[in-house]
Amino acid sequence: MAHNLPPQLGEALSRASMFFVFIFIWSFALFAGITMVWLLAWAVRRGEFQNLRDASRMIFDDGEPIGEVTDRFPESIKASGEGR
Amino acid sequence: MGRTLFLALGIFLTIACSVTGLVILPNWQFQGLKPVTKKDGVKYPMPYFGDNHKGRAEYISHGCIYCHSQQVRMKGYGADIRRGWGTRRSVPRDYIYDYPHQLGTMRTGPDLANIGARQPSRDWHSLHLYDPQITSPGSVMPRFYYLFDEVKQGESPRAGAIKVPDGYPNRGSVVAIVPNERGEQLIAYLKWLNQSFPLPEAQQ
Amino acid sequence: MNVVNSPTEEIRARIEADSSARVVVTLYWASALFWLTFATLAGLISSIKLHSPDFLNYEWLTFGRIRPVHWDTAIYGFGGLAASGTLLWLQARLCQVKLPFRGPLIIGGILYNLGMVLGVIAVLAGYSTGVETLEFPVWAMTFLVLPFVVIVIANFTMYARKKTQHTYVSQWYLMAVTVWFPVLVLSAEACINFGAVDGVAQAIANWWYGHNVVGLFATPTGIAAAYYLIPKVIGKPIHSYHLSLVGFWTNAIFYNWAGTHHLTGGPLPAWTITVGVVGSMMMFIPVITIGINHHMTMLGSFHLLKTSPTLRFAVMGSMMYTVASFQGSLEALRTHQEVTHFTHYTIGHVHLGMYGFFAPLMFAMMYYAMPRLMRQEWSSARLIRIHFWCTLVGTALYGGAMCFAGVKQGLMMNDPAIPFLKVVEFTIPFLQLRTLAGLILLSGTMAFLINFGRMMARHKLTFADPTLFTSERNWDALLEEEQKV
Repeated sequence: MAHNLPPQLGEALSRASMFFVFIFIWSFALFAGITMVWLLAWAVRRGEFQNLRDASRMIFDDGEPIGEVTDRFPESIKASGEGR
Repeated sequence: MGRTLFLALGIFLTIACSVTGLVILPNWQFQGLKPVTKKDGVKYPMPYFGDNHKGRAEYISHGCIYCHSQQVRMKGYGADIRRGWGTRRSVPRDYIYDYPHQLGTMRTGPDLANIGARQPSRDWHSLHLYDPQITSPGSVMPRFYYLFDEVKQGESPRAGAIKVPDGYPNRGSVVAIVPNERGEQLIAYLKWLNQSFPLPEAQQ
Repeated sequence: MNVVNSPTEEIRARIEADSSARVVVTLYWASALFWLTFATLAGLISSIKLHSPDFLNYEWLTFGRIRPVHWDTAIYGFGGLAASGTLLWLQARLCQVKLPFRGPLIIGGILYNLGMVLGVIAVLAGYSTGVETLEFPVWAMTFLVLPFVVIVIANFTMYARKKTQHTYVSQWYLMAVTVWFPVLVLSAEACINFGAVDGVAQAIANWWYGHNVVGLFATPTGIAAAYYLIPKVIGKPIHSYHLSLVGFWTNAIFYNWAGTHHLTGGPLPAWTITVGVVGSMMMFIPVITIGINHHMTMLGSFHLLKTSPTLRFAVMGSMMYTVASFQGSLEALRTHQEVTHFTHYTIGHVHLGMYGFFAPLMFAMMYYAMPRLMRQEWSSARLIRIHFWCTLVGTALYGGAMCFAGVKQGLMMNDPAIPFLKVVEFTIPFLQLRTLAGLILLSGTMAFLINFGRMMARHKLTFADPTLFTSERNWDALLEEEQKV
């Protein structure tokens, strides 16, 4: 895109966008870094990492419990046979 | 909500680090690169201008990059130099005026970093682009016939026309070809591609 | 925090989520399939051109234009839309909430398709930006980015409203995609197409993006789908939940850095390549942990591959993930790159990843979700089988032919005694094999398209055939919810 612009405009645009990227990334990274550490401590205190077994089971419910196969070829049940 | 934020920020941090490391840092490293002045007072590299500048746009528009790279690997890594694709390895300074870059990652066809030095002839480039089978039998490059005007048998000769060789099987009634405006531009660009100037940092 | 206690509430929520997502997700997936067909056709044309250069030799269809159109429609058209549909449906289901912002999401889907059409025309007409994977001009790309604003907001809204107590591992990946993708695209566009960086730095930025758009967009969605579908279909929780967390964070940290190996041997400072190689090597950690989890979960349930179409595709995808990732990590090594860089090997690898891993997982997702969204059974089991075998055989043939030819091609190119045209001559039979593989893949896609089209054409809010829904015993509740949405 910028290669179609007049050189001065292209360069100014280039500098402006680099400045934007620079400020954006670094300020956010700094902010994120501090918040991360704080949140990690908070999450550990709250016991977020203690019940992983339940988390792995949350995709099942009473309608589709553990041990229930939930997908088949359309006709394989009708014929109650095996697929090929 | 705290957990959402925690997750999102952590994930963001991973990409923020890599954008800093791989996009911003290299750009800083290369920002100071300036052209060098040769003994005859000419600078290398030189910005693209006129026909070679427009020809570069043709090169991009026709997607040459999908089969041709523009980078010579160092001695002892691959056979780029031994194949005669260049006299030295390519270095970042060779590309300071390249926007957008056309380094390429595929060599269905040969490397073009020094095609201007290897093939300085307008006739060769014209015939090769018109039908690669003329100059490189067995090539899988498409014919870029639309970059040329054809001079048929019986038509009056034209200035700058290039004779199609007699042995060319698909010749038909075409006796000569003349690159049209875009063809001339593309050829000017290809002839411009030349990294033979021995930059100091490429000698190490 | 709202916690669902009664089991019927959970079932209700699941059905409600499915019903609310119906129109949006169907729209996204139907357009994804359109672009997949388009991309496969464009790929087939490109493939034929590489052994018969006079095939359709017009300016608009010249190899250098149809080839980027193939990749862009595959990654943005099929990849972007299939992944977005997956993301929205899976997140709604896992959070047990209704899909929010359905109107804006539909408009977004339409805009996205419009952007794709504009981008394809621009590239074919010669207005490509010339930067690989970002060929679409900025004005076309804008249409692709805007819908993501809605998708990202919808995703976070669902997560914030979630009724479940836990976060499932798939959700981590889905959240990651929505954080990564906007940052990825905006940074890349700002740096590359708005001219912030040029020359070699632009090449690095280009491949940082080109590699990450696959690894931080397609891959996480694929893994999220596998993490959901495999345990869900066989009715067994995943092997190790701890491992999945390790896999997630190592993937997040290391994948970002792997992109520069696309420029090994190029005119770059050595440190950038080293970073890429280290990043690629470290990828063994997440790949192994994810592999262990997926394959160990499957252990003892392989007989179900016979009867479940979803599982077939999901297992094919997760196995190919392991294969393609190992291959990719090894490919980054300098000695490996000396031979295979610049050859068809890379193309083979990309297809093993995209068509061996990502696409089958998206197909699995569609095979599982569409009957539940439309409340209707797939009309033909035969078409599903044709689709599966075409996908498997086509990918294997493609990957095998290209990877073998690539190694030999690289070795020949590194021997200066062999003229270049001899190398070209050597590759031609393999390029013809690739065209055959492309035809097989296209046949598979057509089979799926027919099945998908039939389902959409016969869309009724009735249970045509309860085969898939044997587990949903709560018919009354189901119907009731159905009418409310």
